[in-house]
Amino acid sequence: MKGSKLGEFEEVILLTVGILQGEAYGLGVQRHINENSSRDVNLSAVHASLNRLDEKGYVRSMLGAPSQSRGGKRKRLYELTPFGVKALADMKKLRDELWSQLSPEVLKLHTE
Amino acid sequence: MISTEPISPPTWANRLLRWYCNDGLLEEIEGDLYEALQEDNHRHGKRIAQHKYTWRVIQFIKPFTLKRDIILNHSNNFPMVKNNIIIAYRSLVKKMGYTLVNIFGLSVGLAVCMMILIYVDHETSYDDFQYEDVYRIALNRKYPDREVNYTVMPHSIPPQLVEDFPFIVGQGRLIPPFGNTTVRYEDQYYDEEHFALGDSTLFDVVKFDFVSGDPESALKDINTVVISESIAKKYFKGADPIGKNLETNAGNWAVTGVYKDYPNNSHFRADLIGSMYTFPFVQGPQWAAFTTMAYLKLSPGTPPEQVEEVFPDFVKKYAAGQIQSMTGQTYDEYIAAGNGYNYTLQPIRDIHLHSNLEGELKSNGNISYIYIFISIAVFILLIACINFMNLSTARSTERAKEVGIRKVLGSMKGQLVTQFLTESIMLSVASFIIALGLVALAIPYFAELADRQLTLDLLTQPVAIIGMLVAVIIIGLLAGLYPAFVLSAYRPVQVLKGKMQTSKLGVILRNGLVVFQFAISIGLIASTVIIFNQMNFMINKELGYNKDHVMVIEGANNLNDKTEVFQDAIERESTVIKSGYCSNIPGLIFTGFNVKVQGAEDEVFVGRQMTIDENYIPTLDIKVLEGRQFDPNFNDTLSIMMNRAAQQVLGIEDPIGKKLINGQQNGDQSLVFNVIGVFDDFHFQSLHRSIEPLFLTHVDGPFNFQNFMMVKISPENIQGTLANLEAEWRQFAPNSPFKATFLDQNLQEFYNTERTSGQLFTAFTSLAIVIACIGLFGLAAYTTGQKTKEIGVRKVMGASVPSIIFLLSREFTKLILIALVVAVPITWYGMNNWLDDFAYRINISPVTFIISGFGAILIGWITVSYQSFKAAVVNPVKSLRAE
Repeated sequence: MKGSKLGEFEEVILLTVGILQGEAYGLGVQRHINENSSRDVNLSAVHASLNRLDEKGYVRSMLGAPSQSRGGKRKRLYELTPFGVKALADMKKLRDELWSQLSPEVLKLHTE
Repeated sequence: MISTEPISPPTWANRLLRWYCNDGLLEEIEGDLYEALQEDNHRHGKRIAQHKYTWRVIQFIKPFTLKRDIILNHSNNFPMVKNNIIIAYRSLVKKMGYTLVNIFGLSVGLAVCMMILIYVDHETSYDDFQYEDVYRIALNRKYPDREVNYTVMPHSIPPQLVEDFPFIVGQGRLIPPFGNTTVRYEDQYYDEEHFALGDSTLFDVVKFDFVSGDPESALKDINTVVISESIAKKYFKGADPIGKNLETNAGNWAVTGVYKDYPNNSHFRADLIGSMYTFPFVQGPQWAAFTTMAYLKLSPGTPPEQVEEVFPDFVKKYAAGQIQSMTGQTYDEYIAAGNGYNYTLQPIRDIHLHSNLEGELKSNGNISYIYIFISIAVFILLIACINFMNLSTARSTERAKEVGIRKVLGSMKGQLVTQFLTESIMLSVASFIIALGLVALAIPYFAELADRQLTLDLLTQPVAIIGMLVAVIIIGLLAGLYPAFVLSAYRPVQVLKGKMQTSKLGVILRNGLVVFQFAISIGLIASTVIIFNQMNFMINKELGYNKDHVMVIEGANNLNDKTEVFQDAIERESTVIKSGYCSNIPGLIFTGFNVKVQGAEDEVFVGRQMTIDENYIPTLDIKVLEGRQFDPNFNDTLSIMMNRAAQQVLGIEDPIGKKLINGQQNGDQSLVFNVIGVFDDFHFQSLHRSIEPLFLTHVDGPFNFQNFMMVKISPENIQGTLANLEAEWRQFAPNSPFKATFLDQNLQEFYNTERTSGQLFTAFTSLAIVIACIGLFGLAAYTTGQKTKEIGVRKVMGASVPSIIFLLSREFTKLILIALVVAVPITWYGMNNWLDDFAYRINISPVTFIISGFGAILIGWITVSYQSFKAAVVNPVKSLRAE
């Protein structure tokens, strides 16, 4: 297992895989991110990232059924592993902890 | 276009994907791409969807998707490539001198090529931003004795064309500035060189970028003006210019628009454009006198020939009446006498390089110079490549042993070729990088020399970068090809036995290439000499008047009624010798002037006219051949003088006292002039043209323009004289700026194009010669190197140093002489063509070629002699002992 730290982009992908609950595959993940944020990620980057997350053990994958809309090709469906869930939870915990320490004035300064 | 039917992915992109993508990932990626393709098809249509598909396939080329064997293959090849690079590097460093000679020659050659490329790109970019289907009307005016090509034409023609022919959809006219205009804003006076007058529809036809104001209506009303951004900044310093009032001699102008400064790469220029309707003469019909420049917009795709075809009938229909009233002849008689108005259309983008008519807005470029420069670039590159080949083949004997050993150890021919090519490509890439640096350093000087605003922009465009890299690799391949194949073909046994001899073919090829290089160099030297002879000839040619120490004061009309007092005042200065007023100076368009000789009224002649006072002819030392010149003791209001050319055209033996009739637009107002004198021909136009008939009338006569003043001053203390003249001017014309130029400097501007091209030509020629010499130097080093033993033996036998130097130089001298024979006829032919552009030209003298031949031999000798001398003075013990 290569380095187990989660990058920002990987975190987004990982979260999206969780959200899509068993319906997560390359194009679907990309679509979801593009629809829900202002960023325009490209498909090959999503694939690369999913591949890496699989190698690191945050997600596991299996091939789905072939469908006509994909020219008879199967999807690779991803789901979170317990290790992936834990990584997300850790990340959230760290963020919440840090956020709670942030003085409201600082935020105000930035929204003004 | 947008359908729900599934579309198939582009075949070759899919093939690419299947080729590189590993099997474990292929299915899912292909599926995702297919799904995305259908989605894009819904949203953007088939074409864009397929483009996106291809782009995604390319994006997917990442380490994790690649097939294992592609990666393995790659890593397996790498050490070999690396090895080649290391060996190439070592062999280049080992012979540093040889490497430097090669790199220097090639990088200078490449740098020159790039600069020429930048220049050519700049020259051909002129007016490429203009609208489609726009043409300028050019007028070829035929007279019985000559013809003149004008940029200007009668102002009633263009609007009538639009009215009569549906395929001419728009027109815009411009009256180019005639001399300078003094503009007043509040208390400030500005002297403007480029105050033109324009049509309200000018902006529909000629491209302008308006910053403020409405181009549609800006010049509709009289007394309106649009100005360029830099004029706006100069006058109003940030304030809003719209609605402000500018004052000139011709009236008041309200600013109605501001446009972005006209781009430099255009034949067009104007800093202020006033509404031409302000002048009542524009409202009146005019079919025969040339007043305005005109641009036409044709309906899309209309061939210009279609318009040119309608002109003959069109001109006859509208201009016949006016021509008859001016000349007294019917239109058909007039044409039959050898006159003609031939209108043609010039594509607006071609004007800069293809047009050189009377009254251009700028001094234009010349397409033949573009071709010349491109060929120089090719020549220089060839010379540099030849150096490369020559030095490599010359060195081949030296590397033969290396090749032999490599072959014995099992090198394949292909591997050796690759190794040599690696070496030459490394050299050319290194040269290319150095060349880029050289160009970056040299471009400001080059821009100044070429008199153009050149930038490096071209070299930063991806297309150019890819193109240049490809070119550099091709150059490396070509230059390395011959040596690579010759060297790799050596047979190891012979080489290692020491039987290796320099091949005959190699020597012939090398000598042939040296001849070729020197033929080019000699041709370039000879051409440079011829260009400079012609330039000097034009600058120093007897013009028929004395142009030295003559100042031209512009805007003399601003003196109004104080012309005489001003003249009296300045002539009191001890340094002012003489001064006279006139309507025109060389370089501006001289107005056409039609005359008939009384008693022979059926023939009409057209010449040029200028108004002068009685002091003009003495000021310029123009020779009066017959009769007298204007004289204050006579009433000269209707007196006329003419030049020798006019007398010959009119065909009158005894001109003094003859009456000349000048027809005006309305036939009843003809003026009758009395010929009082004939003066010697003088060049009032550039030497590109022959001398046309010229008539001089007096300032008291009907054409009373006094726009300029010629002041002959003594050569001492010119600065002081200038200051005094300016002080006087301030007294008599306090409201207009004082502008004085020197006549001889004005005259030199005629030959700007030739001068800049001449300078560029010299620069490139010198570089070509330098590169050729570097090659020769390197070559000489190797051949003398090979002859070390021979020289040693000769010295032992009693040969003197000079005789050895002679022996070594003889071979090169022979080659240069052959080159001379090759170069002379080609250069003679080419330069003769160039000289034909000039009405007054030098003849190419054989001396030119003798000089350039000797020049080349001398340069060759100097180059070779260093090597020969070094070899000749060496102690023979040293050269013979070494083994």
